[in-house]
Amino acid sequence: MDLSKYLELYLSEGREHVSLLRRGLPLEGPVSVDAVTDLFRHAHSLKGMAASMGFELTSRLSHDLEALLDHWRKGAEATPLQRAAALDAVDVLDACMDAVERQSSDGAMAPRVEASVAGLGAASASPEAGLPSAGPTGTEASKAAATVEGPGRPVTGSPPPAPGPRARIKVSIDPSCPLPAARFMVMAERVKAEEPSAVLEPDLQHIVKEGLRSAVFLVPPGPLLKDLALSLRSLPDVADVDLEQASAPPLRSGTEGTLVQSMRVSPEDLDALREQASDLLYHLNQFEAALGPEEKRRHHFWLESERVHLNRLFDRVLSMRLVSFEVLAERLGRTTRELSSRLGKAASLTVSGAEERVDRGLLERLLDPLNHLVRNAMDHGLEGPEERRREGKTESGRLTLDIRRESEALLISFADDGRGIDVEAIRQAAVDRGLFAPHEAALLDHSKLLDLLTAPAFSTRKEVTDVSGRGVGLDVVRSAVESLGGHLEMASEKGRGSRFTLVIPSATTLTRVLVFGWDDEVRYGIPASQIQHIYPLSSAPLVWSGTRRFLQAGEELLPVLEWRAGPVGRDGAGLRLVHPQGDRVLLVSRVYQGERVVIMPWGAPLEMVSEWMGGALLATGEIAYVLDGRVLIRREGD
Amino acid sequence: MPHKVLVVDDAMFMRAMIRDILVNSGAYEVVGEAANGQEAVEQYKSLSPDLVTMDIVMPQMDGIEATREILKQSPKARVVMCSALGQEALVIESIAAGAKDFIVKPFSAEKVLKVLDSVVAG
Repeated sequence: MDLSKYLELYLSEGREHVSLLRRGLPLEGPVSVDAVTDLFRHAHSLKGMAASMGFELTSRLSHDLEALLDHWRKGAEATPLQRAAALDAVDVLDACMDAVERQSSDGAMAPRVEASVAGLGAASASPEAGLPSAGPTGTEASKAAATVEGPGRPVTGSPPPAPGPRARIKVSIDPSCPLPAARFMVMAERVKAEEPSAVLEPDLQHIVKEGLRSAVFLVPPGPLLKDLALSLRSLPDVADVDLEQASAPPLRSGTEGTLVQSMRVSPEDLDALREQASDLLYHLNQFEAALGPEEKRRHHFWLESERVHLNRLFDRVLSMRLVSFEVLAERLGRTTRELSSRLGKAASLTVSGAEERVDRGLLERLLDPLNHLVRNAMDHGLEGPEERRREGKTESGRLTLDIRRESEALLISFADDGRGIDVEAIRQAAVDRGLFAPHEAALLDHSKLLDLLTAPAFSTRKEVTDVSGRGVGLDVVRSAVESLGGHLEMASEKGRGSRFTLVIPSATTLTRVLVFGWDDEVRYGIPASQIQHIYPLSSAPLVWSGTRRFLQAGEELLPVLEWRAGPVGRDGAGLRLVHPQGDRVLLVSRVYQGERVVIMPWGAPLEMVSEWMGGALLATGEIAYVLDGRVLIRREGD
Repeated sequence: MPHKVLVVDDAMFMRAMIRDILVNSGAYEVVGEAANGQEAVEQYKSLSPDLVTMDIVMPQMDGIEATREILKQSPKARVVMCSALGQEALVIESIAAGAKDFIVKPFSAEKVLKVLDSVVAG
């Protein structure tokens, strides 16, 4: 197809999408679903158009931007890092349009598109954000598959095959067909029109879930089967059709119960297994490094397949470490009962979503902050039985713990129906403590006042009790959540109760890091949550001011963090590290990719003093040395 | 007699591309274009085409809703969805809603025609 005649239309319509994206991107504040839906559509249209023109880079970046917008559209929080990455992507898309206008190709944009794609990837806590998300799509697909089942549509469900012999028509889909399950569904509709009692095996849900490319139609034998097989053969995307008149009933296996359903394994054993798996990967890597180039080429296949297997083993072990919230829920229930009898306040804790599974390490780190919240609620939040009666509430206080997942994030929400937080008392305390002048304090809104509660040692309680210790201590809860890379959300209404939501971005101990390097030898990483933006040095120049270097990012001058400042060329990048005392830019020679890893600490003494968080095994089998950007900045100039 | 087609896509660019593929084949003529689901439903009513190519993601009314609406009024309508990669769930939903088949962007003329031919033949 001659595409050049579409170029002008592509440019004019494409530029309109880019400019609408730029105008509509929410730089701060809440994100409206309608607005994001529009943005999503612009990115989506651009993706399709660019793919049609063969502009792969533009299409790829639009795709990743679309995926991020899709997350927002479905209610995921738009983090500042994501907003910055989205804006950068729009900038690069704009530049892609320029490149196409000048050279009729976006090929020259490869480095910037890659950096921007990496930025989008790093900004998102979820590993699938840059890809068509397997999770949601999978669920939607199975939902869609579920809707086509049921009476009247036997061909897509899996009702027991009708008695009597069955012929099998085995259909294989062309490997280049992008949507095999949809193809099977179209085919199933056709077969059903011919033979209403046909059954697709495995059913559509399995085909969707496992991405199968071949399946069997079970149909009653008859003279017309050959025609049916022939007509299937002529359909689009069909690679092969095989008709078996034989009628052996399909064997069903594994329906008898097994003797042992599950076994107990000690957590230490699992930890040891994980370590061994990661050692194996490491050794494989060392082994490969020791091979000469010729040997490496010769054994490439074996090395790679070994690596794939070891990675699978590693994943399997990680998933075995997952435990449900039930243990934690039980423990909190016990705390509630104990305090209830000690304080003479009747209360009950209702838990929903306890079946949610997370890494054992994460669960353990959640125990303290949640216990803290239960103690607070019992001690300060819930009124005594008499006061509750006067307020027209049930005598027994109600505590609820609700655990759920939204996209990748884990949301743990704890609420009580007690007296709520007296924000006016907080306002007064802020003045009393000299934190704010009275006229300043008067301007603080509800949520700012609640935030004050999490300032270290800020307490509105006059007396100290032995139940929740000194003060309300929400700062402890907040810092515990933040150390997990999450944040604390609070809501409270006087007389009605309070709600605390712990938002943990990544629900396993897998941390997303951006991988980069200063030379070709060693890989380094920094948690993506600490990086706000990636500036390609080709477009963001370095300037000297006195003895300091700055990176010029648009209007802004960002101080360079002079750490390991080796020579970094113009093909390098500046990573903007977020810090409350002022962001810094770390110059690196190469940005590789964002990746979810398990960070293994080096061991206690080193960990205490150093900017190194630990080592991480990358999917390539290489080790990355992971830096803590916050420590780097704190120790700047030491 | 070429088959009459209604082309629905919010991008003029995509409509131009599909139109060219169809017209060059000689087997189809484009009798109307629509830029969103609402327009598609109205155009279908006034043009009664033999075939509709329907984009999924569009403003105002999306392609799946428009397909349902068209089929409610004309149960024999033949709608082919235009999908992008990674939209399998939406395509499956569309077929459950009554769409006959689908094509995937980026379009190749050969593939598009094969799908449309099989739909008008079926």
